[in-house]
Amino acid sequence: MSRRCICVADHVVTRPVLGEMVLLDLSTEQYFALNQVGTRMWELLATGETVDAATAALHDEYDVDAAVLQTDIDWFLSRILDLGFATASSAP
Amino acid sequence: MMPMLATAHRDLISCTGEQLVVEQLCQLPANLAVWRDAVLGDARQRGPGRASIRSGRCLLLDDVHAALEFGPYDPLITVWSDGSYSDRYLDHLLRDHVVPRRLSLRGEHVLHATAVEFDGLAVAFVGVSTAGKSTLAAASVNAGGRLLADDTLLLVLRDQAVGVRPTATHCRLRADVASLLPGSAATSLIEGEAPVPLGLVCIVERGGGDVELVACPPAAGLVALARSAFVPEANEVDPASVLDHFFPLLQGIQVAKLRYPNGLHILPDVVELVRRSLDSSGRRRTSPPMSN
Repeated sequence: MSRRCICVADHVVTRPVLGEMVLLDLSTEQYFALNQVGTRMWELLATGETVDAATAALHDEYDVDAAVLQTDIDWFLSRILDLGFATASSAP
Repeated sequence: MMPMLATAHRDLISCTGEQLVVEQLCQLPANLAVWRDAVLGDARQRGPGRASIRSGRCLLLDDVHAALEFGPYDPLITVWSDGSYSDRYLDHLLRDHVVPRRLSLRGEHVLHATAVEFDGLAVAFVGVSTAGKSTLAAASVNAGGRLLADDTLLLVLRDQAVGVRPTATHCRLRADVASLLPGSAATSLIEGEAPVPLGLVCIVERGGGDVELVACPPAAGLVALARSAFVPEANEVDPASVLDHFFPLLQGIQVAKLRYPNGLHILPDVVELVRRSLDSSGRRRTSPPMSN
């Protein structure tokens, strides 16, 4: 099991929006919208779940093929890391 | 002894129906000069249109050649320029920069947007500065719509319904485009008119080969509003507060992405699609009439 997790950057604030979420990067003053699935991914990862645990939780919650889910969460992770919303770390 | 600085006073009816009094100075007062230098020295402030807020009042700089100081309610607008600008350009600064910032300072919901009314419902167009918002508004007026706003869109929230307060008297178009769109001709504001219920906000994007109108999910809709918000000065306003400011409007607004190819010839099709969407929204039948 991978112990990868993320640490949300201090310059990122979030706002829930009718079941979805807006991320605000205070360093660039750019806004980003997450849909419902992205919001759930963020909620799980931002609260300290490991990537594997988040993936398992999402697989339980959504009727989705495991391979598709893995691709989606890998893409989501790479995006939030590239944008500087979070840094990768290892769970203790 | 302080010199007499005022060289001219003139009255200006703003696009919100207020009567502004403009005091033109030939010399920038010392307190404003210090403030201006602080803004010019602020590394976060870039390019024309720099502005700053102090004690609820705003200092707006256009490059280094003009400074305008004003408050949210005070009708007196202090203007200094080095003489390199025409009265027409200063009028533009007053109408398109000072007035929306005054409204924003009051806590009003102000967007960089155009808006048009069709049969009692308003549609607003937001987007980047070259997206074609004014052109689309003029094309909508050509198709029978009524211009409500161009550049300064003032939204009002009443009983969970969002309305557009009419502020525009003409479309802001280049002369060559205006000549092709008679709808850009001037109209009159009706004093004390009630806001027009807002049926749709379109995020305008040009490109692609088709005319498309695709509904936005809530978070994307809020981001579109926040990105189009006219805040007094983005560098001095907590951007999270912009989200919080516009969030209450979200439940009363439908937001959609409007994408269409370049070319004036396509605009009638674009406007027709927007009208059909307004018609099918059903809000005309369900929205309560708005009052002032």
